[in-house]
Amino acid sequence: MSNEKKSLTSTTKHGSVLVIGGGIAGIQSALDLADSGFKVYLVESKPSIGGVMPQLDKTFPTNDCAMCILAPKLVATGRHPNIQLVTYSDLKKIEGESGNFLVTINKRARSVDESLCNGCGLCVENCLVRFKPQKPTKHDAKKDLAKNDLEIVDKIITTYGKEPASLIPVMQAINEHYKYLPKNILAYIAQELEIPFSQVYHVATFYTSFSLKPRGKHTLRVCMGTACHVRGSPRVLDEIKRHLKIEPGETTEDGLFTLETVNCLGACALGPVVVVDDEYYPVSPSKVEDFLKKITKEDELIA
Amino acid sequence: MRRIGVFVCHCGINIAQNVDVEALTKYASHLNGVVVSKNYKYMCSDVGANLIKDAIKEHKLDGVVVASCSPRMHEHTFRQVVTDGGVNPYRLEIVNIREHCSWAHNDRQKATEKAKSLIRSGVAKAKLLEPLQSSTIKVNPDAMVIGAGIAGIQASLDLANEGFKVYLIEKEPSIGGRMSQLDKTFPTLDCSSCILTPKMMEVANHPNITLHTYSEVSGIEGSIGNYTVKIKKKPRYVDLSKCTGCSDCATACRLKGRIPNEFDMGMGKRGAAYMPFPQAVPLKALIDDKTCLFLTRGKCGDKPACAEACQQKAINFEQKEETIDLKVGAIIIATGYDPLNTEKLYEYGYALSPDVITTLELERLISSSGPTKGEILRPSDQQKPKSITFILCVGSRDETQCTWCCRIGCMSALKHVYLLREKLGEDVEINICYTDIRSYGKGYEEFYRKIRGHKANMFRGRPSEVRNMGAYQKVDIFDTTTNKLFEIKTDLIVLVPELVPRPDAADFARLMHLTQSGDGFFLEAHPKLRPMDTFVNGIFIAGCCQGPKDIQDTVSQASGAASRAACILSKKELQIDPLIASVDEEVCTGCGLCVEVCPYEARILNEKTKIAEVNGALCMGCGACIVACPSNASIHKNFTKKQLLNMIDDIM
Amino acid sequence: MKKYALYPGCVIPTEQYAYELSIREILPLLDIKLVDLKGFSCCGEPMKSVNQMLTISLSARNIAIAEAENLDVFAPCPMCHLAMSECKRILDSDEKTKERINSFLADENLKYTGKSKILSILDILYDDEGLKKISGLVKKPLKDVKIAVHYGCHLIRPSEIGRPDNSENPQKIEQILKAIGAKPASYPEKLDCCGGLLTTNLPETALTKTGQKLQAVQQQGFDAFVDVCPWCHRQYDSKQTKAGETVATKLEVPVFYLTQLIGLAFGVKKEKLGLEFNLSPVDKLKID
Repeated sequence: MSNEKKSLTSTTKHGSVLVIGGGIAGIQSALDLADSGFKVYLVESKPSIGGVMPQLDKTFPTNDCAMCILAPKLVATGRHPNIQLVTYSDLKKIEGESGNFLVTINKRARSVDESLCNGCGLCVENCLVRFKPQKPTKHDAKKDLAKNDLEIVDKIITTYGKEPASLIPVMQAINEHYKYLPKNILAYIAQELEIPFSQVYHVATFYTSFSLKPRGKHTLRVCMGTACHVRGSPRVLDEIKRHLKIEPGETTEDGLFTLETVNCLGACALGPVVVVDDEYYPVSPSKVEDFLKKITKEDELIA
Repeated sequence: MRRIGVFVCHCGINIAQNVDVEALTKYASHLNGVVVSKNYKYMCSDVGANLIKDAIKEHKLDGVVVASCSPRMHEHTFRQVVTDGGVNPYRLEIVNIREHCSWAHNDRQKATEKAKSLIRSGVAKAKLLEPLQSSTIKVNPDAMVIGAGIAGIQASLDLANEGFKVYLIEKEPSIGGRMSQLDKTFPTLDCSSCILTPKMMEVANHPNITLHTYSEVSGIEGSIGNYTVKIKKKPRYVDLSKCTGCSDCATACRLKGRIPNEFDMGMGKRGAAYMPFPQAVPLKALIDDKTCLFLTRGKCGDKPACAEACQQKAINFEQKEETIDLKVGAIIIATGYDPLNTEKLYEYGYALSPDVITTLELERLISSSGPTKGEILRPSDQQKPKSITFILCVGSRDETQCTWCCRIGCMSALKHVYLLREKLGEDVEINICYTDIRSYGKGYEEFYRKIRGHKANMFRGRPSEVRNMGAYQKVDIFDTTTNKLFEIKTDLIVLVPELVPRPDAADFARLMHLTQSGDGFFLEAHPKLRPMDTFVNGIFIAGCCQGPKDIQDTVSQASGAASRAACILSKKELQIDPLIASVDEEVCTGCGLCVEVCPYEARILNEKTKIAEVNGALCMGCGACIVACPSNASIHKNFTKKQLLNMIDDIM
Repeated sequence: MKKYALYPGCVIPTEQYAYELSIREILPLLDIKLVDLKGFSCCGEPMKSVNQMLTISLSARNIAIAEAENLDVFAPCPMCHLAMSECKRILDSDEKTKERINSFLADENLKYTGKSKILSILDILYDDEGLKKISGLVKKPLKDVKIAVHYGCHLIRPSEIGRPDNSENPQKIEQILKAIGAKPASYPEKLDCCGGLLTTNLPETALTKTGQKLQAVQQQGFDAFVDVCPWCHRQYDSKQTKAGETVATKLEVPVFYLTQLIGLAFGVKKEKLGLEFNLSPVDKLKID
């Protein structure tokens, strides 16, 4: 702080000031400094100065229209000979000390030559990406279904009736057809039957016969009931897991088998029991590999 | 033949909703003299400005009519735009189709018809506008700050540090204001003196600041850039160059301990010769001429005790009031507030018992340099209180008293809970009767939560009465959070009063040509656009004289006012608006009526020529002299009779 | 000589005779003539919460009777005073209601115009006559009698409509008492309600409120208790014993109407002031 009284004229530049942020605070500071004769660099990270205030409609308590009271300041800032606007830019580095700062600014590319652009708006009107929605709008779930899926699902819905009470039969039919419940189809059902999606999801996750993940072509169910258990079904399960390289609940990569465990099939005399789709097989731990080969072959034959 | 351009603004939907702007544009284009007519959503924006400038160039316009909001909003902006476009800025006419049309009517068709008439008359005037030239005045780079509380101190320091010479005027014998009376400040619990006194010392020692204490403003002349302010310096009866601040005179004074001390809010007593307070700046004694025995009766014992005691021979009963003239370019007013006088609020019992006190009075009890040296003692019996009850919003948010919120009451009560617990420990019961807890500032909510842990009983309600039972005070309070009625028997009642303008605010406002808002505080030019400016160019306000606020906001406003003042002081000259009165010298009869009616004292009658003259710097263009002049010699530039009659003709 | 229409209301002529007696004794001494008009009815105040229109009509009718004789109305009972003041305030500001009320009054060829003023005992004694006149008539000053003043509620509230005295700090009765030589003193319970209007629904509570105030007055060593309202007087004077029972205290507080005390100070004989109707121990107060 100098102790001498400085003489001041309107043409003397005493140094420059960097104002970071071009909202109303930055604008007012820049104007006051510029009016006092200082050169001001006004750095703003958005493409325009103004900040939040132009987004407001009216301001309390006077109900002044926000834009109306801000616009003259925006214009004054823009045309003030002492203010240099540096928009669409960020602060990168500050070095130095009070009275002698060196500031590095990162000016992002507008892809528009600011000296030539006169703000006519023609480029905006002709931009092909122009209609990209800014806000999520209500989405029609129908759009997410392929044409043939749509036909199938519509038929199912027509069969059981387009009402909330038909939810479970519809879901069963879809599960039957697709072997699982695809999410986009669930969303479509929710829309058509006018049930909130969360409720549909609730039902889908409640019943074990519904699966949200694609199931294998065949379902292997290993019985873990008491009789089968004492006859070695855990080892059967382990072997299957080892061979197929999946855990219960998962599906093989080739989409052939989904592995599940169940608690008692009531076929204890046959135990340990593995059910392939609807066929019951007695499978002992040592026979797992052959068993798997056999059902794979059968599938190939059928296919 | 004039070439006028008409530019109609939509103002978003503010105008376009109620007025058919397209129809207006089309209508204007057919008016005699109009060569181009356009409209745009926000004419005040860059795009709008360019629209006007381009049209000026393309159509070689020599006059512009902008149909938009009130000229009070953007006349200045559009003048700039027109100047940039190459047209004299006073060949611009603003037609108000917003406040005067769109905002005042509902019928779209009729409003549009009215707007058409307004534009028609605007064009009629524009055709006759003269290309006026503004003149310049030199600016005095010195500043004056009136009021040396924290706002005045901050503003002075900011300006002085920028290199401007500052005259700091203070009514009391010491600077410091209300903040010097506080013990601690919320929410940081900074010791008030600790953060204030360094600034006070800085002010005292600053080469660019000239301090005039115990002084008041008694007159003001001039205008922005060139004010002459009369300062009345009251006599201290102490020679400041000799006084060392030793306080011997205060100790010796025969009236010591008899006169209620203003600094201690009457909780302590002083003599007629006294020191304002231990940390006073300047640290000099003074003698109160309303109570001093020698000054009021001509006799103080054998010899005045103070003069006897003073080793520096600094006592001087011959001192007289002095008036000095100070010339400055800009003025900042920071005269502060008063707490509401609670005596007349009989229901709170302030006048009936010494055990009902206010927050500032409590602050003085808490302060270690106060009348009880920081001991919390009940005024009636000087015993430690076992129960203290705060009543918030006394006189505030009250239809019958003051309608505004004092902004600092809640936080200062919470601060007091902390300070009282510190002083009196767990033994004392602390009750707070509040309306809402307004902890809106930075760190305030956190402070509130912290204080809630200090076990104060919080009652949400306003007690209707404080009953003085002699040995204790009784308060009935209905707590709206539990829906229960409580009876509190308490030893000490602390009222948290409203903050109100000082009693001389109206007189001071008149003196300085300031406007007061409905609550009596000084009015800012615009709460958002110009919060520190007043309607008088070159005079700014800061701190609580504008409205109640805490220290943080006060300091911010003070720095802001200094910045605003610097905008003027850093210029060598200023431009004068030429839209002022002028005199047709051939017609003026020298009757002097214009001089009498001018509220800004901008008119003088030249003694030699006997013709009236206008001081361009003072004239605000109000028009009073135009009406008063019986000879039609008083002319308002660009509001001439011919122009206005043409406008009326065209409307009809 | 000032003339007022005396509007006695219902309670005074039927029960609180002492008030009327003392008023009729002292006002002529102050050069005031009281005119008795025929046809007055209840002021309507007790029905206020049930049927406001009826209340206003009744008050308007009484005022209209006085207006027909070009007289201002003097209502010694503060409840009546409030009813009629409120009626006047409403009718003077609401043309429509005034028309409606006048349509009722037209049946009796009466019309409310608003030209009559409504005066209370305080307006008569303090404002109209002034304290000088009163102290000028004092023959037997109430030397140092420590008096507790009871204003009651209807005389000073609600403050928004303007009442004869300030609702938070009324002082006019004290000033009148000082003018007759007495020593009125403030006490914390001064503005407490007598509880009288709770009698119909909560009689015990009503008496308790009365008793608590008298108990406080007695404890603080007052020589006398003065009131200006027949309802309050009934509580404090007639029901003093019962009130004492609710607060388990033997109450022996002499309770007077203000006009009775003024009469005593003016040298008027006890009998003429209706003192035999006071049930509280008024003889305790010695005035020579």
